[in-house]
Amino acid sequence: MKTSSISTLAIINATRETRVSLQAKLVEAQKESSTGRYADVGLTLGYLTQRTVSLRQDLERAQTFKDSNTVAASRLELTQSTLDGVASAADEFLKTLMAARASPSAAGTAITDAKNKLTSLEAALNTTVNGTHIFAGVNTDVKPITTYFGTPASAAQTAVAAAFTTAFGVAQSDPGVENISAADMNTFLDGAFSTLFDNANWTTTWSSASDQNITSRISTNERIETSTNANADPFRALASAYTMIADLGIADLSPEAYQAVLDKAIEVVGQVTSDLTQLRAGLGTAQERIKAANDRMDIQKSLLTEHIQQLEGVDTYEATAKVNSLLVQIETAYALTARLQNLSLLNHI
Amino acid sequence: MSLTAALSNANSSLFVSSERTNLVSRNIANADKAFYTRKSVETITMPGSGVRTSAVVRAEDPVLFKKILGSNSQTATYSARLDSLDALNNTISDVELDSSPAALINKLLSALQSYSAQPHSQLSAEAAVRSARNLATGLNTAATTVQSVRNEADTGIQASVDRVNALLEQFKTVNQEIVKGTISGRDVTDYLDQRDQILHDLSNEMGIRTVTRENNDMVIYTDSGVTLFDRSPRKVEFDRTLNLTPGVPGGAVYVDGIPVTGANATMPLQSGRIVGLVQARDDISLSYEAQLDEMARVLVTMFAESDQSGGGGPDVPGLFTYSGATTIPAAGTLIPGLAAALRVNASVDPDQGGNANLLRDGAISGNAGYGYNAGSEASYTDRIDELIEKMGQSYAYDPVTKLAPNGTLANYSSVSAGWLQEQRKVADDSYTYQSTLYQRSFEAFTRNTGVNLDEELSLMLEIERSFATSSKLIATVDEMYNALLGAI
Repeated sequence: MKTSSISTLAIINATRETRVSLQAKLVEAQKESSTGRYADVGLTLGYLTQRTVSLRQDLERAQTFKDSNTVAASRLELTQSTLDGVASAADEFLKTLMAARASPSAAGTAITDAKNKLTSLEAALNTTVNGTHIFAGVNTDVKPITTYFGTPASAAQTAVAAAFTTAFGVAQSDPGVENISAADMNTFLDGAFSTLFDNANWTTTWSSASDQNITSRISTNERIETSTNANADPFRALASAYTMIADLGIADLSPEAYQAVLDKAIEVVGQVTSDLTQLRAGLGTAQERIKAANDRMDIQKSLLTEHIQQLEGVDTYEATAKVNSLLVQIETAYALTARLQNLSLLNHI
Repeated sequence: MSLTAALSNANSSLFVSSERTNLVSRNIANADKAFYTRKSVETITMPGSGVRTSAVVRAEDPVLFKKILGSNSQTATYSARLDSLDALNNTISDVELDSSPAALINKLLSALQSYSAQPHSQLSAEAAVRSARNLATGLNTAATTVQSVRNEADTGIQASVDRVNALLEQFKTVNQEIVKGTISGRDVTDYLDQRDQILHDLSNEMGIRTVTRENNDMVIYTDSGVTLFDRSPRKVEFDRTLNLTPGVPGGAVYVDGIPVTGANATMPLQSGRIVGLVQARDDISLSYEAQLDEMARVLVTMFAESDQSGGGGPDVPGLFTYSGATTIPAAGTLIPGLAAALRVNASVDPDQGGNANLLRDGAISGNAGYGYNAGSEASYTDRIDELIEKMGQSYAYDPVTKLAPNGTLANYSSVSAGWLQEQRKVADDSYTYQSTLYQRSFEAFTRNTGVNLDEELSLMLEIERSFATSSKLIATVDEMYNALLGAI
């Protein structure tokens, strides 16, 4: 027989369940208000979790690109400043050559200058950053250029000496060089001497650099060359001009042959200046593309962060308000429980 | 003589009062028991000779009770499923922690990108290999987690089946008492409460339906219609596998020799803990495990090395390999257990005495013909870039994994994470719904059938009054007799 519509057990259970569920909600709301994200992102988002996971992947990739691009950017920057030095050295050398051409007595100065300039070119091409030789192409762990005036004589120096002797029958230091005609000298410079500086001979006698430049992936779809190498035309040409003046014994040449050598050197150096500018422009483009890529990454990163926030984030004000209202509710539940405990007929009979 | 009749009437009232007091105290004593129903007796007037009590009646609500059983089974299903899914979620955890396979795959990609920017750097190479090892370990751990979830579910099914058998034995005893008591007209209400409690416990393990026959005899069927109890309990058996094999479903549960779970079930159970556990063990876990295995397989394929010597040799596993690997696994075909076996090739792993630079140079497999960096150049990036490109390519996945059959590995792994979270969300929503339903039905049930202490107290007062008045009556009759006898 049913006479009552509420049992004591039902009352006790109801207050207990209310307290438990309120407390569970409070824990969640507290976490959400302090982190600004859903308490259990996966559970709240369901299949949308896929989206936030992949947004987070993209975000990390963008950051990685930015980090890895700094390596290429700093290499390019250093390459540019080194090339700047090489170019101004070439300009100065051109002036020296002009002066020496006008007065053959200045040949000694030109030779000294050429030797110094050659040494500094070698040093420039052997520049290292972060343990890598930046002018070595991909072969970055090997010093690209061997010193020309080394002891013992470098392979390059030996090769030049051998070619000179083959062409004229005398060594560069032999006084007999004064008998070399301008025509013979021109033939030598355009022929055997020039051959010494073609790519095949250069890479065996002078350079250990690789023809292949370092390529960098600067964004998902862009892979660009971010270095140059010591085998590039302007370096070979410049080395040949310096060598002409420094190591062909020009001080003892007949005035005609002397003029021929200087004319050739001036011609070569003149060409080098414009080639260098072209090379630097190419590298400048690469720098520009890295900068553009980085700018894009920055925009991407802020957009991605915003999207992630939109997906995972909660309104912290709302969460805080929720915490407050839950606290009030729980307190009410406590007060009610205490009151209900006292509410018994037993107390009144 | 009417005085004697009055005495007899008062006497019968005293008897009824003590009977009712007994019931009130029984009710009060059991007020906090979940399935104790309020007992009451009615007072019946016996014409001319006072009152007596009727048989004890219990407050019943069979409709609500059926609802409780149903929602209890459903709640148990989703609870078991949700528990397993939460355990599987350990492989992903909070997306912010970047510990999911998807995040680890992406970290490898980032490490390769950094390595590609400074291929000459030994540290950078080691960092890339380390993140590859983290990925392999991550997949191993995830696969182990899945296997342990499956084994736990299997243990759970065994426990559940044992419990069903024990409950059916108890049910047999109680049911017999009820039938015997009903035939002989005894008070069986407490036994009926006990039987309800047993049915409730039983419905937690598997969904049931009951039919009551004459003399309060009860027959139990599973919710799929297999007889579970009919005068005697039917045997519930489980074909337990001690260590489950990856990719292979576990054993089935049989009721009375009929399979009620698994692919061969002709009358499959619809609800209850057993159903939730079987789903967790075979359905969810196997799919998720297959997804992990596919990630591992694609990693092996992606990092495979091809013959660079022009000899046209077959591709061989490179950075990622697994024990017993000689060739590249066939595309789009699942190899169960691969995620657990995936590891980084020892020859490239500095911690195992390997050379991390092989990641740049190739020939990780040990065959010089598979070397990429012919000039041994320190800043050779072609191979690393090729690997990065391969990580961005689309691969074919086995359709049994329930995810899109094509896509990049990064996408596949994040879809996998989304898939698991969606399963969790669905299970959680259903669980919340069913458990609320259960709570509400239970509340309504106890509300209708439970004991209210205040009511019992007021009843007590009423009885006390009745008792006192009857006593007074007896005393008065006694006085009257005394007066009568004194007068003689």
